Amino acid sequence: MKLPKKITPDNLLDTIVELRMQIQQPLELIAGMLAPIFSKIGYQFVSLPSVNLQFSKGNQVAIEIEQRSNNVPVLFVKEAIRVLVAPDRVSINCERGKYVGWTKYSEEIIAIIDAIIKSEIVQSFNRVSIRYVSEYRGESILNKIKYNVVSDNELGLAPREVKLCSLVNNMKIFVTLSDNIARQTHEGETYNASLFDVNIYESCKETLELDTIINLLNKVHDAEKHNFFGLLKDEFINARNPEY
Amino acid sequence: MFLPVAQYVDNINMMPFEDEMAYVWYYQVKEKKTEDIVSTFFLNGSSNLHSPKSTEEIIRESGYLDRYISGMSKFQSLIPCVEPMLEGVTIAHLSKEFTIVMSLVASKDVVCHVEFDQQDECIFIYSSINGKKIFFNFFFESGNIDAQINVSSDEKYLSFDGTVSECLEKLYNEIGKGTDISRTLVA
Repeated sequence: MKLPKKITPDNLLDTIVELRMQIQQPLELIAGMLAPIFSKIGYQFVSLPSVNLQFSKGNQVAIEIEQRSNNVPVLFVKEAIRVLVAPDRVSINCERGKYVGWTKYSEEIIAIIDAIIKSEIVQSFNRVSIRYVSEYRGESILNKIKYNVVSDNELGLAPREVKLCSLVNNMKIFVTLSDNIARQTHEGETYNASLFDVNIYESCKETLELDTIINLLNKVHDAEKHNFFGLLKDEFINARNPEY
Repeated sequence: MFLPVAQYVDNINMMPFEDEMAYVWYYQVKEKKTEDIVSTFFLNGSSNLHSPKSTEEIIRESGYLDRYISGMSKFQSLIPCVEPMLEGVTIAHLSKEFTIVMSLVASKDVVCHVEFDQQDECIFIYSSINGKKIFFNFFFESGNIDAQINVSSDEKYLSFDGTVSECLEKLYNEIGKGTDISRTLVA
């Protein structure tokens, strides 16, 4: 199947790339070790709350503000791209509605991984995951896919969420289709939308070789595209100005 | 060969997988509110299995982070203006107080606006929770960070002074009970 390089609009909400890793430094040192290296490639440190803020409705406690443990992730931001570094993973995402396209995105991801390797905080990487979530307002997604989903009308139930999964060699694929569910804008306005969530990951032998990680990243991304476009009907794709 | 997810979970260690998409559909089994769909997730049946976060969880978390980064970016852009006026207050201290409020604002806000008022020597955040307009002010002229939270709605106007923690507690006592601001905020 010929896969588009780009569609417009892309309808992407989240474009998460996550690498599991083992770090060899305490997390509290990570921000300080990464900041100088990340700043060279344009990423600025943004402090995350180091406190838990909890409101309770019961009569006992009205509010609790307490110092967190040392597991606060470290956040770096460069324009629309943000990087979260936690003890066991680095997670990269684009700001909502500002997906930069795979060519630029993958360049940034590789630069980030390279910077992490050079910082010597990481012992090894062992898994690459990519999760893209698209939203279609006012549209049903179940009648846009190539398969028929049939419900038993005698029960009066309608399919609202379809989960697909597959294991291809060592690659695990999870697709979730949420059909015509009620959602809410940031401003509180409610609307109906469908969600198309493709979540794929593959584990590998522990490695620090950049080329190995890049190959796996591209492999998982190809699978991401294959599972997204492969499920959709051609007329739905063609209506979104595909570029090949 | 299509594999229902339930089988996939139960036999994950012994079942050979085909290179084909296995799929099954789930029914809505309980509906508390129109937007709160509770489905059966067989994939979460065992803690030993890959248990991905739901689509909604992923979207909610990234939306929170978006708003938080937006507020913090505005705040950080104000630091060069504020720095010459700080007297005994470290940026780290101000930042800590600020992140507490940003956590609250990012989780529930309708509108978030951050600005620096040179005349009043304060940082000002505007937000809205449950239809009530909330104005956070951080004053730093006295060597300590004093906070003031003003709340206005159609019915009344409230003003709280003190530390950030004290102000938030007063805020909760006045408007939190019976409203939906109950949650734990973590990054």
